[in-house]
Amino acid sequence: MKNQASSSQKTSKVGLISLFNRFISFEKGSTFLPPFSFGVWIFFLAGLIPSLIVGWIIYPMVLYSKQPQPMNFNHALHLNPEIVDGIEGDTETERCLSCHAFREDGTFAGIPKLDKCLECHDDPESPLGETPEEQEFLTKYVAEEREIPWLSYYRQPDCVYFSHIAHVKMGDQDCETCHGDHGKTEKLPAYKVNRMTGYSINIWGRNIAGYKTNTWDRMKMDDCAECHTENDLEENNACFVCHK
Amino acid sequence: MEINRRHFIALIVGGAAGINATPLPWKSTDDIAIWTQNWPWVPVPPTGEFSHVKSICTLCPGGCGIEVRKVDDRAVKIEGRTDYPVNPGGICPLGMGGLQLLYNESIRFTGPMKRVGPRGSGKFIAITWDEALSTIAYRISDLRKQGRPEALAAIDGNPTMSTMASMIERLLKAVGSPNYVRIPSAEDTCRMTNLVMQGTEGPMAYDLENADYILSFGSGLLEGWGAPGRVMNAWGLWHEHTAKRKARVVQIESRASNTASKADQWLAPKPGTEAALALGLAHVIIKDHLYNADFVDAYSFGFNNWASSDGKKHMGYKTMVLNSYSPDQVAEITGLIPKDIVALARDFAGAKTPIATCGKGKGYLNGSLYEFMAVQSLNALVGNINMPGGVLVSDPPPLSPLPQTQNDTIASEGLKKHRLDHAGSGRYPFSKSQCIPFYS
Repeated sequence: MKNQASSSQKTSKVGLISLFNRFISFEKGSTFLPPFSFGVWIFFLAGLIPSLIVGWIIYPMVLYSKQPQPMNFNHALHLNPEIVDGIEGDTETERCLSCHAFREDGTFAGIPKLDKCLECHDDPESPLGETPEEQEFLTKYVAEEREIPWLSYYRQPDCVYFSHIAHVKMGDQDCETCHGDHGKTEKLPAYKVNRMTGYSINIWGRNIAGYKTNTWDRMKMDDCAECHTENDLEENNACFVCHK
Repeated sequence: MEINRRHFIALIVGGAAGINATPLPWKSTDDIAIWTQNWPWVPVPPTGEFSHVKSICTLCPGGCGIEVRKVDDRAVKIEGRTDYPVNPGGICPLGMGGLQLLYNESIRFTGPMKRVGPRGSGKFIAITWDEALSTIAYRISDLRKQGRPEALAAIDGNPTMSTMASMIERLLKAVGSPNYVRIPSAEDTCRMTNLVMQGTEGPMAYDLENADYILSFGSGLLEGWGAPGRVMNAWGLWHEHTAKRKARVVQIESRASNTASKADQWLAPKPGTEAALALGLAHVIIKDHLYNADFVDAYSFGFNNWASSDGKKHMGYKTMVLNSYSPDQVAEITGLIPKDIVALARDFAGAKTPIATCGKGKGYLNGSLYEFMAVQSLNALVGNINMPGGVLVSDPPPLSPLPQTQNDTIASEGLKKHRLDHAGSGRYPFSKSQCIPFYS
């Protein structure tokens, strides 16, 4: 008893490493505790470093599967009123809404159907531009009257009720706030789907740690709540507002 | 260097510390939670544009109006129509579950099937519509070549007076067969009752919503009788707490059906004695002078004894029920208690708008013509015919007739032959069609 008491006093002086050493040491009654041997440190690092590699590098690679979109779509080109006649609207949001429109009942149509494309690209024989994508689109989809099986970057789970009209029209939010510079891209970004949940990587965010710098980097519940709170709309953080 | 236990513990501690310093455990926890909400076998309708299509339910002969909610081209919900005269917004559980019939293809045929085994073995193979049509067309034209088109019989399960039924009947006429057969239902017996008692061939119609006393002779009001969407809606109205006067539902049925169990009163006479009970109720109503004498005098015939033009005397309805259907006599026949019969008769006659309904269960089976007449007599006794909350005399729907079929000689000859089921003959003068019994 006496020995144990004196040794515990001693450990508090030599610090944490000795304390840790004390735990893995079974040399009861020993008053002198040697520091970790070099070999123990090697084994500790041999556990630590691979697990860090697994967690930070391999895990995201395994978790997400990259899927190609059926074809490329040039948002920058289509949103340029100098090139495309049909794009109307003073603000960027209004121009987005020319294709990503609201239906008559106020619901959001999301990714446009082929009908929308046909408003301009109505003749499969005469392309409006000179891009190979348009050729592919005209022969593969317009000529065969087939819908393009786009993969949606921003689909929320079914348990989440989200009203675009409440945010865009009533809340006066820009598309960019949540969707970033998607409308300015010339190439569609890679679509990555979470193998476990089946949802797009854009929901969790492309940063595996969930670190975000912009409002559009992530689309988790906390991000909805953060914006509600910032805009003094904390009452909209109640569960049943979205989880109806 | 000697590797000992300490080294292994250091390896595990290092690994555990490392993994916890990565997003792996934290993100996995989140993802597993989402994964549990996305089991692949949980049906989730696709996202898309909502639309509604109006239609008529054909799962029973009731013909309720339905509105189908669709997401893009996929039907996701069936609801009752609010702008349809048959059912004011109501729908029955079967109609509501109609989508399961649509999507579960293992419980229905999705195309023509041809029997390959012996009759009754249940062995069928799927064939194309082309093959089915050519096979049937060949067999029919073969019968016509042999000069016996009447050998073709069609058994039709489509609702009476529906477009499909008319088309099938016309096909038979064009081929030259009189043997268009329908499975008789309560609707047929109602038609015959109306024909015999009221001189109209229309169906029996009840103003259920405004009735305050429903004496149901076995009608499965909660089980698909009539137009279920409407009847169930009316049931709801009868039992509304805010209703000015609650309706009373009395179920007369040998079986403890769902309707019997939910009715205000249930009487179970011996099976097949319902007509006697109806006449017994009439006995009490007439004897106690509870009947609507004005109505009976003005609109009925044969209530009192009468003599035909040849001087022959006939017994009237009143004499018959007073002589042979006293509560004691009826109790003997039906197995009920005499005082219950008396009380029931007085309740019925004392109600403001009482209705006696006939057609047992869902009305899928035809009933006894005499029983239906006995029940309809009760409605006449209380004078609740063509009144709000009463029985309505309706003519057949005023649809313009389809153009006549152009019959050739073979067809004209075939149509002169007798029907196989003797419907409309001297044996079954009021019947239009029947499957049973086939007397030779």
